[in-house]
Amino acid sequence: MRIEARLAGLALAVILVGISGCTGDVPPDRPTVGTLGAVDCPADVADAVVGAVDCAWLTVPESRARPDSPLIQVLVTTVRAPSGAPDREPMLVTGSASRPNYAGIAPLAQRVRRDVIIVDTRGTGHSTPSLSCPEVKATAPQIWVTPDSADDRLRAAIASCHARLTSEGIGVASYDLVEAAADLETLRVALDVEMWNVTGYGAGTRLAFELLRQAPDHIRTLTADSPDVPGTDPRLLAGTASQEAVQAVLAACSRHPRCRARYPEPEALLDKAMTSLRSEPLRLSVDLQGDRVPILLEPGLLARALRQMLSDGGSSGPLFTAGSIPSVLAAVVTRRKGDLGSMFAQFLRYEDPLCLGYRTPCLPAMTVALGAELSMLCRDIAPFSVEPRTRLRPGFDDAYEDSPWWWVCDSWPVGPADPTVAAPPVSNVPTLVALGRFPPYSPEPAIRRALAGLTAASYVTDPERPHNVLPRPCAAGVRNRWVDMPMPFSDSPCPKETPISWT
Amino acid sequence: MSIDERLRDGLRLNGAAIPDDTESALDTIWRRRRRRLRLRVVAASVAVVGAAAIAPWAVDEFRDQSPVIATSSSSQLVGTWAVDVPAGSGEISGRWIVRVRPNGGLVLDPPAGFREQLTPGSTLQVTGSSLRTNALVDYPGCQLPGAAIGRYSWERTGSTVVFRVVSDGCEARQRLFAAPWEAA
Repeated sequence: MRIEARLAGLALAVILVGISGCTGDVPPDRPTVGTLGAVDCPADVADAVVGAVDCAWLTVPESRARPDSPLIQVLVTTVRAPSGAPDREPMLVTGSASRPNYAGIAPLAQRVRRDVIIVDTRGTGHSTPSLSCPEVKATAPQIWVTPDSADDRLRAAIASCHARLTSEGIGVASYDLVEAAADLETLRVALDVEMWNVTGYGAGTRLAFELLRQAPDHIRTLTADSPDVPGTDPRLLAGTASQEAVQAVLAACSRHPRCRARYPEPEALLDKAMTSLRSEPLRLSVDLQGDRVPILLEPGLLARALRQMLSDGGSSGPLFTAGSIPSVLAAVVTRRKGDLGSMFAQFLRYEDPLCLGYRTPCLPAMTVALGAELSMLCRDIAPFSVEPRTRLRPGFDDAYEDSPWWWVCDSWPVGPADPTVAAPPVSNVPTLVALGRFPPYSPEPAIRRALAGLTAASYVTDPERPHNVLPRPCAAGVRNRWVDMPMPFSDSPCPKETPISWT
Repeated sequence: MSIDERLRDGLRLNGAAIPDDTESALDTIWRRRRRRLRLRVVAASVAVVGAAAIAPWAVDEFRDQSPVIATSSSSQLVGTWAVDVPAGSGEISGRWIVRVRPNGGLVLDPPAGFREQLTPGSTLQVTGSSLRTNALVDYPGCQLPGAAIGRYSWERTGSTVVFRVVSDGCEARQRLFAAPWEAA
């Protein structure tokens, strides 16, 4: 059955629900497993999408291992291809623990001329119940003011969130990758889609790879942008990838006459900045949502800000691009507190104390349900992380060797998942891996090693952007053609590098 | 045999091939035509009755699947436009060529000084004199709160379209829509 016909069925369902007086942005009263109930799209979804969009609740068991499991709801959003997409397999966008960035994803429908299905992963976004942890958000901005007490505050807040969710009857351990991928397969059956194209970005690719493990026969293609892959621990990659990426940006600056003229010896900037802050941290006055807050700029906070600049892709503004890195480091070296205050007002403007430098990006539209993120980390990744930690450069050691992410699972007891979830993927499904030029999350050697079992994998590297490269013209053009005709290729079709806009 | 004789023989044979009962054949053709006409009238009646029966559903479906730009007034935006963004808008300044497709697709061809790369795939959605667009959504800062989608009112006079911002947090997009669009 064509997806248009099924979506027409959904539209009809909306009318029937409307006739029965049950329409609205609430799950139906007595849903059954595997059913889709059409609803009006939530306001933030409708507002973020230009063109035709449909929403529905998918009903799934919280735990497929328990016959008496409570049922939960997962929001499914379909953005229609502007000119229709008869007989073209839809795109499924797999998410992570953050609310999908509907505005950023929606243009994909036009770019690939296919319907795009976006799922709010269980426990996240609009899906119910929500595993968000307002207790942890509430620790900011105090954490920036007195970083010495940050760990204690975070520990207490995380434990409090776990206790609250558990007392509400939520089985937090069920919000893991295995169950989330099973939800997607339940959705495929409910939609009666025989084959779909699966695409993920960043942490969302783990779910795509888990779906590949569970239901490979229904995946026509898999696209992984700046992936986070089974068999790797993102906490281990964070420090090494970030410091190498920043140093590579500075090397590129030294090769660019205008950048080198403005920042003499750019490759020494990173060490100078970290040494300066280590000898004397800077006390900055930062405007956070109208309040002047005194924050302490230490080497670790600078390292996190640098990584955020490499991973946001400019979504949060021009400061969040690789071309701004020399200017930020120069401001630290010359200790320009006024400029740095303005910059860090942008870095710290969002409330979540566990986002900056740890997740991408920190946009409010992509609010993370921390509980779901912790369940995936503490069940699917941390128990299978065996590689030793690497010694890092000054600043990056503070940020990533001593990161709270190393101990959060102590406060989030969920037990380990089956080890197969952490096994490197093995498949002959056509796969396109998109990587960035200065990758702070997904360094190419580590990704290639982890994905060696994908026999039909092709790699494209964007010549400018470090992370989330598929919105970029070259990588997007390659993806758009490849999805229609998924033939493997050996060399990245994009130019090796393009000039960076240095600020 | 001369060529003339061979031609005359050939024409005689062709003439012999024409059936004698031409009149009866014409009758057959007219009967078939009248039968087809009756069938068409019946089919059209069935279609009208059927359409009336499923009208509400069909209208909704059509509304969902029709091009984003559907009405005659909004089709005034379809075409190719030259947009001169005045100096002082940084890399946005200069002449843009904007193509609006019947399905609402928007293709932006930026000025030479524009350094940011543009990914195709933006859209206009027109409702009467209002429109929503995600043009330039990948431009730095245009996914901040209130910036992903721009809302404008528009008016076409002759070969010029003028927009007024209703809400838009994306500065680059605002500058593109602040300048008049001239038919190119």
